[in-house]
Order: sequence, then C-alpha cells, then structure tokens
Amino acid sequence: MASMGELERAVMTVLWDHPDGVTAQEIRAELPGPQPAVTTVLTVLNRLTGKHLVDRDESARAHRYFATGTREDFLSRLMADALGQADDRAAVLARFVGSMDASDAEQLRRLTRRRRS
Amino acid sequence: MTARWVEAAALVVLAWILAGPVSARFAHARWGARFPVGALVVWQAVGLAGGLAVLTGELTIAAGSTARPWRSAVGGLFTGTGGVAYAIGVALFAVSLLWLLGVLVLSFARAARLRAEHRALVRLLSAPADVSDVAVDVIDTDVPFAYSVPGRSSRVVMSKATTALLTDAQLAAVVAHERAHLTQRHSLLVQPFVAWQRSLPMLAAAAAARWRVEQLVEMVCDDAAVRAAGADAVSGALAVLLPDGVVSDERIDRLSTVALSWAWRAVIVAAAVVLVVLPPLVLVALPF
Repeated sequence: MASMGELERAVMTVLWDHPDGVTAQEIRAELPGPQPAVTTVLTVLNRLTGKHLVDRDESARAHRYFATGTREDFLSRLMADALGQADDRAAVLARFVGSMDASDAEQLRRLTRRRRS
Repeated sequence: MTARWVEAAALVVLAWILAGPVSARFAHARWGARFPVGALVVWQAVGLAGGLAVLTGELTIAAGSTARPWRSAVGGLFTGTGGVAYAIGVALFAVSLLWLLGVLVLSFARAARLRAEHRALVRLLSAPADVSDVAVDVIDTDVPFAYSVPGRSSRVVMSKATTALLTDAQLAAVVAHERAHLTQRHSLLVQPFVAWQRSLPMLAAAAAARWRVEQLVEMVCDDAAVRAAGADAVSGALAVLLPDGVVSDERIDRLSTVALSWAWRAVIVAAAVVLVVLPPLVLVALPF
C-alpha cells in the first residue's frame, strides 16, 4: 500500500495530464502499480481539495476533478517561496541564501517559461 | 504624584531607545559576525527588555512609583482605591500586553499555515533522496537553491541543480547548515522579529533588526556546517548558491576571521542578561 504522500503525488500527476478534468474512476484507472479502491482515490482528492490544490466540478453525477494549476504553476510558486520573491511567505523557510535580486527573479521567470513551452 | 509619570515616561523612552536607535545601530555591529550566538542572545534581550520596559512603565502609572512594589498595583484591583492614574495604568498595561502577545500568536499561527501549504507543494513536486546520509526532498529544476521547512514534520529541500553543481563536501556543508536551523529551532528566534516588523512596517529599525537576526541565524548555521565539512566546503557552497555577481559577502568573509575572545563573549552575554532582568527587577524587588 503506497503512502498518502505518494498517492497524492500520483493523483496530481494524473490530474496534470488532464487539464480538462477527470473523474475519480478515470484517475484510478491511470494510477501506476496496484490500483487502490475508488474510495481511497476520493479520500486523496478530498485532502487535495482541502489544500486548494484541486477543484471539483459537481454539475455531473460523477464529479470531475481539476488541478488548480499546471505542474509549472506549482513549481513557480514553490520557487518564489524558496528564492525569496514573496518576502513574507519566504520568511517561514530557512533558506541557505536568502536574497534574490532582480536578475535572479528574471532568470526564474525565464526558466519557468521555458519549461512550460 | 508626578513621580509615577516621570518614571513611566523614562521606561517608555528606554523602550523607544531600544526599539529605535539601539536596534538600528546594533544591526550594523560588525562583531556579530565573529560571535553570532552572542549577538542573537543580545537581540532577544533587546526585544524582551523593550517589551518589559513598556509593560513596567504602565504598571508604574498604576502603582504610583517603581519605589512602591507592583503588589500595590494588583492590590488596587481588589480595593478599588487606585483612582484615575490607576485606571489609566491598568488599561494601558492590558492593551499593550494583549497587543504584544496577539501579534506574536497571530504571526506564529500564520507561519504554521504557510509552512503547511509549502510542505504540501514540496510533497507534490519532490522526490526523496539521501544526501550526506540525510533524507532530503529534491525538486527537479535547474535553479540552484536549498532550504529547510521548520515545524512538526520538518524537512530539508534542495533542487536537482544544487545536487549537480556542488561537490560531496559542499553538499554535506549545506545539509549540516539546514539541519542546524531545524535542530536549534531557529524559526522560534526569528519569528518574533518578523512579527514585530510586520506589525510596524514603517519602523526602519524593526526591518533592520529582522534583517540582522536572519543574517546571524545563517552565520550560526554556517559555523555548524564548518564543523561538519570544513570552511572551504562552506565558502564553496555559498559561492555557488549566492546570487550571480555577489563576490564579497559578509558570510564568506567571516569564515576567515578569528572568533571573539572568551572574555568578550562573557561580557556580551552578561550584558544581555542584565538588560532583560533589570526593569522587572527594579519593579518587583526594590525594597522601599
């Protein structure tokens, strides 16, 4: 049985591959390795929704789930924290070097843009 | 009758001197780089003493004078014989205490929430790896960085670029540095200064204090990294991870300077203790 952290990562990977949204059933079918129960997938989805990483469309009978951003969006958020762009968010981390000047910020934007294309 | 106001004013001025000019000057004291632990102790003392001076001053208004023990301030609460000055003093004291504690509690709560959010991001975007025998979360990106996320499920995080660019000794230094942040609970030392600066964003000295405390904490961790991997490894890692164009940094330069003598260290720590203990001691223990 995979840990909750691994399951969350695997579910997010499936969601990132389907920008138009997927149902829990479809996610389960795409998960690598031994497939967990649909209820387990739903539990993971609920946790991710609670953390605002996932959105839910409840208009159809089988709810559809979306990631609230692409993998690159999440990565830029993490790096903005890690490299000290958003100062008050970065204040909660202990960074090996704290400061980042404008050229680094520009390089960061360039890098994430390149990865997206 | 007027003595209480003079004494209260003196204590408030003391707090203002500590929060303003003393903080601004101390933020640029060079000896901090040679004894960062001592400088951190002094910063905690300056913060504590400032807060205690304000609270003591307000209790003085209520009690009449520092020469009258604080018990009379508390006593007035039950006998109701304090008069106007008593009411003003107690009200100011209550508001200050609530404000100081409230700012701190909210700041810690906010930090805990942001950390939890960040940990969730790290979990999704990282792969676990062993770096220098420590479990590290590695993020797949070509921008070098390394940091730690404090808190109950603390972790060390670095990018793939960091693991690729640094030598084994430099990686050991970075890991030792981040572990020192976590095991020494540095977030507890830094957070009050973050809270103070955020609650008074117009106060330049608060920003200077926060900046310096964050720097000193890094220096303490650099020293832990030197013990683990040597000074060359630390300066090499800093050279890679500092932003482009930074050639001379206090953190690199200090690795080749001599630490402060034991005598000076003792004096500094003693001064910090006196600074904290004096205002409440005067209030509680003065024998008249």
